[in-house]
Amino acid sequence: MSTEEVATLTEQLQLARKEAGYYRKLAQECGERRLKESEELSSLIAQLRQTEMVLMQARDEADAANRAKSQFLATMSHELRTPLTAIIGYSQLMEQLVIAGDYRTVETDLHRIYAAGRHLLSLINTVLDLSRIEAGQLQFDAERVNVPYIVGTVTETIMPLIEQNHNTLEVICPAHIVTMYTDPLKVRQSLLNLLGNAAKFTKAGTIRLTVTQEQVDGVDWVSFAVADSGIGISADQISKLFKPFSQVDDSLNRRYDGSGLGLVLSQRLCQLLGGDITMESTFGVGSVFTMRLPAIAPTEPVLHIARPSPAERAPDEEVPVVSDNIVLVIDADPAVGSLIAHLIGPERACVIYAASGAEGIELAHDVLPELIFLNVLMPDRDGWQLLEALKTNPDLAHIPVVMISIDNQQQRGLALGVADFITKPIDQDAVASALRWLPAPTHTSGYILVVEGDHALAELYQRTLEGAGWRVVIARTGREALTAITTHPPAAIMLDLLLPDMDGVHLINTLRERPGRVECPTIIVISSDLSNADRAQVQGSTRQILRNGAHTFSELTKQLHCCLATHSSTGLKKQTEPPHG
Amino acid sequence: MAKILIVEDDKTNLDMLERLLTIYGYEVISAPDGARALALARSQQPNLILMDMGLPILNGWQATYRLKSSLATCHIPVIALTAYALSEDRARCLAVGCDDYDVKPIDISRLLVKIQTHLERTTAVGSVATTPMVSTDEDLGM
Repeated sequence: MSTEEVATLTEQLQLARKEAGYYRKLAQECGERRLKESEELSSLIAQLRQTEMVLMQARDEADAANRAKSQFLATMSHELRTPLTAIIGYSQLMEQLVIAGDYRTVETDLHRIYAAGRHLLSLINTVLDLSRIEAGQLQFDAERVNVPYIVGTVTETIMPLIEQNHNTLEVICPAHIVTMYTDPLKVRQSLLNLLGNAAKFTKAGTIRLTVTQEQVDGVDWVSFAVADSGIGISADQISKLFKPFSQVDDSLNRRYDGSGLGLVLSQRLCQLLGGDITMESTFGVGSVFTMRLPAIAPTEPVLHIARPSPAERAPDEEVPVVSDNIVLVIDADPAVGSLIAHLIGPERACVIYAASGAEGIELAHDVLPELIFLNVLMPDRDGWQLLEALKTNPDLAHIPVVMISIDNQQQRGLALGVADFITKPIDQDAVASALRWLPAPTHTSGYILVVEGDHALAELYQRTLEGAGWRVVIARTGREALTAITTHPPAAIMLDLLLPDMDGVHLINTLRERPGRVECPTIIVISSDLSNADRAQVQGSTRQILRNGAHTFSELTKQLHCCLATHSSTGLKKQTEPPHG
Repeated sequence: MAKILIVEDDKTNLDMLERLLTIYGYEVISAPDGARALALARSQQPNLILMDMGLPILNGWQATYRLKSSLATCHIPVIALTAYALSEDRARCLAVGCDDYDVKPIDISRLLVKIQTHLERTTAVGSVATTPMVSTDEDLGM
């Protein structure tokens, strides 16, 4: 090799080295840049995720607020209609009486119209006050308030209501208590509400108002505690108390009047004055509501914004489910009844309670329950006597009775025809085992739900199906359909996919995702072609897809017969209710 | 004279409705809760029932379902008469077996038309009991 060649090679080698170095550097830079980019990207993704979370949370909050609003409007409508019924009804009644020249009841009837009108007005005022507070528009007028004086006037006002349920009122209020500087009207209103509630939920008991004063960090506070010996409230129900319109027993089985607005308003008023209302309760023993206020109200109203919690259940899931069976619990302790109801669940049976033996026998006569839980220890009559009364009555003798007792008296129970024996404390397994006495769930009922937005078409279906001997319920919207299905599942659903409020596929999916979903055949009637994706989505839960107009009505009824026949042979055995009475 | 059972827990509204229907020539009996309603429907066999829904002890939905599940009472038409006035409420009442639905505040002429329609429909069927809601296989044609 010549030196020239060597030189050239060396030169080339150096060049290659240089290039390699250059490329190496480039690669390194690229790598770094890529690393930086990917870091940027992941931080972007993280940001996006966070934004998504915030958005989802905002959406959930908006949904919850929307649900709360709908619920509020629905309840409002219900509450306003009740006094309106009296006003309009009595007016119509009086019109008839006046035409007939009968003036004997005019005075009392007019008074009823007046009373219903006053009730309506107070409802509307309460709602307006609440909405003013939420909007931050309600102000207060603070002045010097003599506590014993205000307590005196309040007790005077509430006395008739206390006496109405044969209650006694005890007031403990020290004569030398700090003079408050607050809004006397709002204090009075809240205190009246607390005492009024106590009077309403207590029968032949004692209501005690205790006023105390304390100093926390140099600030004087005055507490008004209202204790009753009423029905009490269980822990899980307390949170419901301070929500508008909700009564503890809001299972639509309402025993007590009232909109459930009073306590909410009182609490808001107290919060406005810098204080609050809290409560403690023992189910069956009584409750204590404490209104705690600063002796000197803040110069500006304190605004509490109530945020609806997204975890709140949708109103749809709260509707009562009608059950095939009725279980009667005869026990002086109301907590036992609610525990058993909780263990059984509304799908299995509707639970009703009797607090005394006499009431229990009467209720058993009235409703002819499928199963009775009876406590051995009853205040008015011995449980064994009650058992005998049930077992010797020809209408009631067939009803299985489960005895509840502290000690096991199985031998005696079995001899007297007791179906089962459970000992206190009641546990889940014992109740579950007692439920074997209930007839098997029937699942099928003779109604067909026609979900059809078009009035004329719905009527046509109704006539055809009724002609074939079925009972028909028409739902005009998806929401109506969901309500009907939740309340009581139909034997079959005929569904138009084009609904005014939601799409039929969505309806089917909602049904499918529900806990304890409804098992019944669905027939879809479509007005246009179904896309393949939609078809695949609904296929699993539907029996038939019929093209609207392409089938005659007799074919439709035949399909329905067919579906119901195959459905009931899949193990859903139906039962015939034995004739009652 | 047709006998109507009014199931209503509000005393004022019960008094009003009782007297109105009496003026229009109906014999009226009443129950303050769902449990009493079941017993009275069985023993008194009214020609029609006006059922409030928010009732104590046994609510109107459960009571109606029970009435319609029993051979002794399933033939008696039940009209839901309730302050629950959303369109879902109508569906809910019909799903448990109510034959008709009317909202409060009542309009007496509207209610009278409904009462008359159902009374005529049941008398046209005669004394033949209609099928109970929880039916046997034969009832569904199987």
